[in-house]
Amino acid sequence: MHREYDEQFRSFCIPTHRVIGALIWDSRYSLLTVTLAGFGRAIAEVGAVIIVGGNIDHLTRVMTTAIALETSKGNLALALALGFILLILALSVNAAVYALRASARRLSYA
Amino acid sequence: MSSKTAASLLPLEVDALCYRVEREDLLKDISVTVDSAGITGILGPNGAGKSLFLRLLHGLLEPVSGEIRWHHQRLDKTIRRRQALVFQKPVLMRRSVAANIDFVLNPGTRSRQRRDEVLQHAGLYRQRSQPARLLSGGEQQRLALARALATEPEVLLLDEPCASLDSATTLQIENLLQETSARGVKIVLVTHDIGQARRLADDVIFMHGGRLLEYQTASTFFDSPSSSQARAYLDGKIVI
Ligand SMILES: Nc1ncnc2c1ncn2[C@@H]1O[C@H](COP(=O)(O)OP(=O)(O)O)[C@@H](O)[C@H]1O
Ligand SMILES: [Mg+2]
Repeated sequence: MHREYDEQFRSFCIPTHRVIGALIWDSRYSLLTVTLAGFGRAIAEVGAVIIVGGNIDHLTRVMTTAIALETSKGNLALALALGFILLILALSVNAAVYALRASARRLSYA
Repeated sequence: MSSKTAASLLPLEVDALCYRVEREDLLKDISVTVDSAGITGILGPNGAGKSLFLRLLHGLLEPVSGEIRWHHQRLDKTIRRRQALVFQKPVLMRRSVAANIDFVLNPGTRSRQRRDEVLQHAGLYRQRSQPARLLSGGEQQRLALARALATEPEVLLLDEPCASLDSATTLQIENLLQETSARGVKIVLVTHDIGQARRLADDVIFMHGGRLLEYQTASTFFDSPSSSQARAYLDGKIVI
């Protein structure tokens, strides 16, 4: 994008700080989507590790294992609540990404 | 829109201009003096060096040797600021139509009213909140032109502004250009549309193979071109 804008900006004699600002602003959606995608990957990786190794007695408790545990203890209400929270977290992150992608395409045709 | 005095950046003097990329001479020894207001057309076949020449006139490229002077001054940023260049392929920002205009208006004096004026003038007011990059080809080119005019240039440089546009859109743009010229803005128009040059140009620069072969008034050029290349070009023959 910089290469594309460069000549036009030089033609208008746009000062450097405005060029930088404009480049960041005009790529804000792709930057955000990239960040979120990275975030998603990180969560997935970390999540996998925690599911396997994070359930150390007395120290940590992972949501998914906690759900299983509470279910087996017969505490169905708490298990359901935890499951619900997990679901909402996952859904909202995904929804945010999709909404952003959609508006990015609409607004900037990036 | 302010009406600046006619072409205070004139005369344009080009002195033994050469441009070279990797030992290949792309522009060879171009000298010309343009002292007439109005519209100067730059004609020539593809690859003649018209776009390069225009970029050099605007100071986007540095000549390898030779000199370009506008109003007896060497080309620099202050002169470039008084000019505007519309590229062959419009470079629009990933923003709304209105925001594209806002971006070039002077931050100190910009106003919504001024922007709306500019858009109305270009017939783009209705599309003002649309993403600029989703406009049709003709609308994009009109926006690029409107944005250039919004900076109130004294010299307007255009690189084939109507390439790949239909005739109705071409006419709209030509009308805008004539109006602009009548306001006293000097226009340099690169085109390979001979009809367009006939309709608009007051004088003509003919380029071929990196050289400037002719600089004539339009009537002389079209009636009796002096170079054989120009004659062949006007006859619609393929010139190599
Ligand atoms: N940056 C560059 N590097 C090498 N060759 C170039 C460069 N820019 C343009 N040219 C060459 O210079 C010649 C003239 O180009 P141009 O000015 O775009 O021609 P036109 O008259 O069609 O606008 C072409 O042959 C092109 O390939
Ligand atoms: Mg060209």
